[in-house]
Amino acid sequence: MAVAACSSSSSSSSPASTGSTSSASSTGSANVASSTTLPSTITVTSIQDLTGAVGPVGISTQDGMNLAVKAINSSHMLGNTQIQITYKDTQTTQSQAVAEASAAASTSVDAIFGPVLSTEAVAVAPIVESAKIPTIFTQAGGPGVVTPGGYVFRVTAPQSDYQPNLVKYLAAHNVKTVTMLYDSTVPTTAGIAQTTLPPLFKSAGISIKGSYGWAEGTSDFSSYATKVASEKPDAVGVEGITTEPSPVIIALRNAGYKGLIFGGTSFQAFTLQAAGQQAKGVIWATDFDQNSTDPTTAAFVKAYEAAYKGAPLDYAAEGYDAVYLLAYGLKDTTGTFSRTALQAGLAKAAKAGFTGALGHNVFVNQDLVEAGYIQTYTGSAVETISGS
Amino acid sequence: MGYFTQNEVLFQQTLVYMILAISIQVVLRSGVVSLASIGFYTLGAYAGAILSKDGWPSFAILVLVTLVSGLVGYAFGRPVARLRGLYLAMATLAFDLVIPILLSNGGSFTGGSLGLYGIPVSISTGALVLIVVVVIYVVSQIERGWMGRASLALRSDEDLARSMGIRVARERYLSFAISAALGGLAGGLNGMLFRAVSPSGIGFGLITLVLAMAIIGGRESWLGAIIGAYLVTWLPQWLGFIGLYQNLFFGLILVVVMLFFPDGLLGAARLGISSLRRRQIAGREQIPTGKQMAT
Amino acid sequence: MIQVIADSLALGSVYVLFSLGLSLSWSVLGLLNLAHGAQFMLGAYFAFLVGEHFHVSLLIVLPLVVVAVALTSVIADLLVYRRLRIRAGTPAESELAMLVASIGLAAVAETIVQNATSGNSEFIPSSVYSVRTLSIGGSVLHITNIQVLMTIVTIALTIAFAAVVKWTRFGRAMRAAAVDPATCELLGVNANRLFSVTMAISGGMAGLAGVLLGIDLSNVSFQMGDPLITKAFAVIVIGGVGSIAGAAIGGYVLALAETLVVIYGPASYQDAISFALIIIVLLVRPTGLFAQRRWQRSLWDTSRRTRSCSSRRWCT
Repeated sequence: MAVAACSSSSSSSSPASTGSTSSASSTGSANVASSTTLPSTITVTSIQDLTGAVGPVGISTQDGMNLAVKAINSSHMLGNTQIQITYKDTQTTQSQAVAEASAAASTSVDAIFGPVLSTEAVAVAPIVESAKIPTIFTQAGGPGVVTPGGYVFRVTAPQSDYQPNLVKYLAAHNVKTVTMLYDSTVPTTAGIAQTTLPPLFKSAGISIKGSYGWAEGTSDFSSYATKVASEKPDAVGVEGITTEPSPVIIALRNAGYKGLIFGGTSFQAFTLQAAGQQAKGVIWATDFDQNSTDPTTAAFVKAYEAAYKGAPLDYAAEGYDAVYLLAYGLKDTTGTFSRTALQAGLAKAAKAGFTGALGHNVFVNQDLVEAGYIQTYTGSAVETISGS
Repeated sequence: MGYFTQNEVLFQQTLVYMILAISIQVVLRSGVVSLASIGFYTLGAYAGAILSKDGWPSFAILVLVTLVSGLVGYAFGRPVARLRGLYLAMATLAFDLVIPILLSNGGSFTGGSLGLYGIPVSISTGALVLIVVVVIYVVSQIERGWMGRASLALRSDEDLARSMGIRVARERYLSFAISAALGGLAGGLNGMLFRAVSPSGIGFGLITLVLAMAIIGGRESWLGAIIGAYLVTWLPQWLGFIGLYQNLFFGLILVVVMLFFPDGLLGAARLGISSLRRRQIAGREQIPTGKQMAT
Repeated sequence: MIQVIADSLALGSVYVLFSLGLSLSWSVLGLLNLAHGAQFMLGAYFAFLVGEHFHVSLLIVLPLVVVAVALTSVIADLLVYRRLRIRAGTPAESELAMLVASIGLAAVAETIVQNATSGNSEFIPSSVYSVRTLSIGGSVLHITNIQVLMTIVTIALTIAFAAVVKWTRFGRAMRAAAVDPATCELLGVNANRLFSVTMAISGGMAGLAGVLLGIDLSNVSFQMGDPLITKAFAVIVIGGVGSIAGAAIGGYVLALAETLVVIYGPASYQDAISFALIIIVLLVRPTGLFAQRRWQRSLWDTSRRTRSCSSRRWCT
């Protein structure tokens, strides 16, 4: 029972923490702990893509969520109230996601954690809004998912937030020409390559030599690599999902391209290890820094590694913070407990912000904003170059 | 009623899949292995989405989409239906799979890889049930009528069918056209149900799902398609505990059905009923059974 | 330009290797094997397993894996496909039944691997085969040793296979069984055993293609075989079912077309090429460019496809 009326409670979240309060700003200042009686169990349905094309993303998110739930429940952050999550699998199918969301909304669950895929989120968001059930998304970078003042919250900054730093980095390193390679069938990567980056490049004075999309399921990239290598740009951007980065990088190196390669969220130690030394020096922008010395993040990484025997991906960190947003929202809920009251509590908690696995989380209009970090790969490990 | 509202979306999905399953069953019944109705399903969903954003009402959209799909199906039925068996299956499979690629490259007109969402029109479950009932009625009449019997003859022995005056070619185009029309209808309905369409759900997975519905239920009649659609849509719910092994279970069911119930569950049920009746009659009238006769 | 040709050769070799197996089972047994992609994936996956745990080189891994995947084919034939052929009333029913069953088997194999890998991709360790780039003429040509290996293996195998089909007794038996199994039996050929052997060869080739491509891409995932099936369709359709030369030429032509699209045209239409080719060729010249009517499964012969089977032992 670590919650005193006026202390910031962010660090009591992770079991391995030493209890030092970390954040300086107004975390939890609106914590009026016992003005409402929360039900003894808060039930949440978490609709995730556990199988199918983005299965690994869903599973990672689930891992992060489970870790957070365990921490919150065992530390009695909410007093005698426990959070209970039931997981539903969308099988990476839009209609399944919609069916699960509608079903969940018509039961008595208190909140929903939404699916990560943009196409699914975009279809689910209107349903949960009209059903007035608080919903927290991770990833889900599509447009129109979050409506200010509505029931939807998102704990992943849209890509447009942390690409500017990446572009600045490129410009600072004398990159004048760029070629983009991206997965054209996935909205997130297609959006970054087609919509987000071009104007950023333009204002940084970087010209785009070429932009080529591949279709999902493409496995042979040698023709793309040949094309890119012949253009000899200063840098090549690779926007793919799950495990597409390594084959592309290997193909680029095999084709003789020796310049800088940069990427997006799918660049992690785990996805780059197949490319190994050939991926040395690649950089990317991400919202999660696992090397951070920030106590909350470090504690999260430690707990994750102990529980799951592997380093956490950013999806796990996002899932972790999504559950914590819920917890803070619950603490900020006043009056008779209901979904509407919870929505107000969440809005308050988001406005106040909190420190979680992703770092210091600031929300604008219920959507996470952050400048992100830039990381690089040494050939065997990930290093953070700069960050917020 | 609580159960119903909680699972209403699943019920609606089942109804749409019933139409889609019937669209495959209709052609399989006459021996035409065409999977093209799924392509029309995709096109119908997108056409419906685009028209609805232009302000078209739902009924008009559905009528238009069904008719146009049927006409296009008839037009394409001519060159395509010349192909036999596996070649036709392949050609229609390719047709189904190329459409999402074209759609995801369609820029803002088709919404690109994200698709179109926020579709303004919707359909009520009651209207959906009515539409399914109408479809069943139409198809059952066709099945019972001259065309249905002709289809059966076609599947068993084409030359014989031809010699009896059945216009083989015309049968093929008609069943192809009906299949396309039903596919388009199902697509339009789907868009209105989920208020969003995207190219990401269309692929090998959906095709095998729908084929399984038609086969598992039994391709002899529309009833088989209905049973198959219901089972395949609801099986994941009932077997939720299987979790991540769902596909494996589904695959095993396919193999088992092909090995032991080639006419699907409906066929097995019919066999069961007829053998029961035979035993009843034999018991009552002391008609010597096969065993007794074979001395 | 020479780089384009090199890229196409490597890519085309994969297509040809994969398609030969599919064409074989189709022309001889009437099985449009939609599990072929899963067997291809099993080849890569087995290579990953053996490589991870035993650190042996390709010389050992390759034959092991090929035999293993060939075995899966034989087991599938004995347990499932053969029974479906026997039970079917017409060749058309036999084809459809085997097609649907192959879908089921593919789902079983892929789900098992999916769960074993938690949906993640793995890669075949470099202890099995270390991939190196060979640069020829400075920067003119970049090609990897695995790509060279793939091309050589494919061409050698294609020629060997064509020789077997044309000149050996087994080859003749295979061609005969494709046309009329009943008569074959009368002539002393055990058709069922022949079919199983054919399936074994088909599976073995899929596995071989899987290992080689798995090394080439440094990527092994449970879904890696699916996109290849439609490419194989295109290859077979272009070349004509049952024609080995056709499959070989079709594979390289398709690879060249796709490479050119990426380099000169709108790259995201790369996949659409194979689909478009299937539709166009089937509509315009359905027998393929190199059809050999002798032992090709007949497109038009409806009477053969829909008549009841003369023999009770099977129906192809």
